[in-house]
Amino acid sequence: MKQLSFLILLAFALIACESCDPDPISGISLTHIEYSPTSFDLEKPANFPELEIPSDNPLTVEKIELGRHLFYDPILSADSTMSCASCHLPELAFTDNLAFSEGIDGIAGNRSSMSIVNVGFYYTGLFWDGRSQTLEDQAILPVEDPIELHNNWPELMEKLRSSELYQRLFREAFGIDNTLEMTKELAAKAISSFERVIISGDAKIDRFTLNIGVLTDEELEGFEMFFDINPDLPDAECGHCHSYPLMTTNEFRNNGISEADDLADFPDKGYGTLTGNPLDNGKFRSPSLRNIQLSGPYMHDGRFETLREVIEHYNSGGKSSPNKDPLIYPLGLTEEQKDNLEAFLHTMLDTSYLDKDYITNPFD
Amino acid sequence: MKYNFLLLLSAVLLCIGCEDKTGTLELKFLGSYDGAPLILGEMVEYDDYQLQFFESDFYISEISLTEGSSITEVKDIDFVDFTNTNFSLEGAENGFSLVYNNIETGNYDGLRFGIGVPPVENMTKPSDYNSDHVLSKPGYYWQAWDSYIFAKLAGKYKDEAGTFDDGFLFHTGTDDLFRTREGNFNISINEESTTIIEIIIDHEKLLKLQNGDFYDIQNNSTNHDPTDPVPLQMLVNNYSDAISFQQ
Repeated sequence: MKQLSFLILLAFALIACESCDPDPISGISLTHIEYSPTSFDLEKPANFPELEIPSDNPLTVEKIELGRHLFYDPILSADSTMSCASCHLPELAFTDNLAFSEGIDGIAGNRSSMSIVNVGFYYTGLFWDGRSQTLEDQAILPVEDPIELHNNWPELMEKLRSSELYQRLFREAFGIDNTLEMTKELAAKAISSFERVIISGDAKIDRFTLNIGVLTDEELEGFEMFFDINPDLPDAECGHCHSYPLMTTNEFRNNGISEADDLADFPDKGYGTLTGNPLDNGKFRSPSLRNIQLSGPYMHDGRFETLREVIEHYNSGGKSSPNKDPLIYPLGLTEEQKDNLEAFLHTMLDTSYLDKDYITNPFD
Repeated sequence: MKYNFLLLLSAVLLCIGCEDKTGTLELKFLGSYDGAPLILGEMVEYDDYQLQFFESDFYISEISLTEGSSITEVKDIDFVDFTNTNFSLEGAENGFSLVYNNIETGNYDGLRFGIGVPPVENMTKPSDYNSDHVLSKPGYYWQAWDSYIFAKLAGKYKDEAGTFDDGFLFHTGTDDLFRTREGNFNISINEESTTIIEIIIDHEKLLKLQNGDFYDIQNNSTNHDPTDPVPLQMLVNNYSDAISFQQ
């Protein structure tokens, strides 16, 4: 009798398992799962620009939820050891504190992991070199990159189609009727939706700007040098590339960190590789300075460990190259002025997004 | 039946006749220096030393065609940027074009536009605009001035050591420095064709004082005070003088 019960249980288990593993030809129907998308109520700081959302990918609670799962799930990597969050840790402003992030094969790239806080507002190209125009395009790339997740989309999608969790989440997000309709493009749309709602705009600088908070004397002097507001203080020239409120102009610049005799001489051509314009060689995205004290090391190659090293670099006038930005020249800041500038940089800290349940790791 | 057909035909012809006839206007901006195409990154002679330009761009606004006292608006605001055209001779010769369709056909006697952002729009900020609008550029708003940056002109000059390590950078902005340029010449907009007006900007003239002397870039290489008569007012006035038209 015991043996018979065991066999019956085993048969049920096999049947149940069979039902999760969709037939690659016909898939499995998902219509029994309710599809009732809910529009997401976006909390955007009033002084931020509009969050532009593609018309074919409106924000919904369900898409963000799917994207959140995909973002934190190591299923995305070939050996299921790494997820997007492995290089974009929420507590580090979605960076990893490494100069060069390592992929699943232990191979390091040549660029530092970028913060994705407020990335939904970046409309001039993503990555350090701007090679992806939209979040939807960007989200496709790390999965197959050999120095990142080194997976391939067909195999990943097979795994996702076999997962009851993802069958439900894809259905709820997109209303698809069959697992065969689960595609990498939909996965990318969901990840993009999740990334768009990682917004930070409640830092000390924001409260100061809105006249509901104050800065210390040191921070205020740093602010005035940063934006060249006080003619009695040196202009630190920061505001040209890091303008309020996003603390970036979303432009690509050569900030004098690499020495180059001619325009072809840059070790990493950056933006120039994308545009083909030699004058863009050695240029990289000006990153947002929001939460900057969490996102070191700094620059596209993580060459500076501390904010003080960054300030010292700009104060020095940088290294020589033909297209070095004219704003990079010796600033002549005193030690106290450097302290004040650094104090001001710390006013851009805001990690309130860590408290949002639609942003935190669903697998914790 | 025959009458019905004739009536219908008349109505169709009348309707076609009512439609405004339109053509296309292309404003082709050509950066030049001392009579030659301006190639960014290439050395040019200035006073007794050399310069290299790396950036030249500006807002152009209230673009309109005139005919006597009547004005036909072409575009409220746009942006001229030589960065992605003038890095080669071919690109510099082709220039940077702004193309406007659906311009009412007819003969006009002038073209008028502002260099910079008009005062009403200058009360707004980049965050007020969608990313496809030219005024959405955060890099062209200067908080300390409460103003858009109307124009940027940047490059390098040869220093005493003989290297091009030092840069110059001039930004203009604020309402007082908004300037208008008008060209008075015959412009004909014809149906289903493109009228091209070449607008040549002589970058040598941009950087000269009103009396024709060279400006001392080596010792005054940047500006941040919009009330400083030199070089900012020199530059905004020069934008007017440095522009010439050709059809």
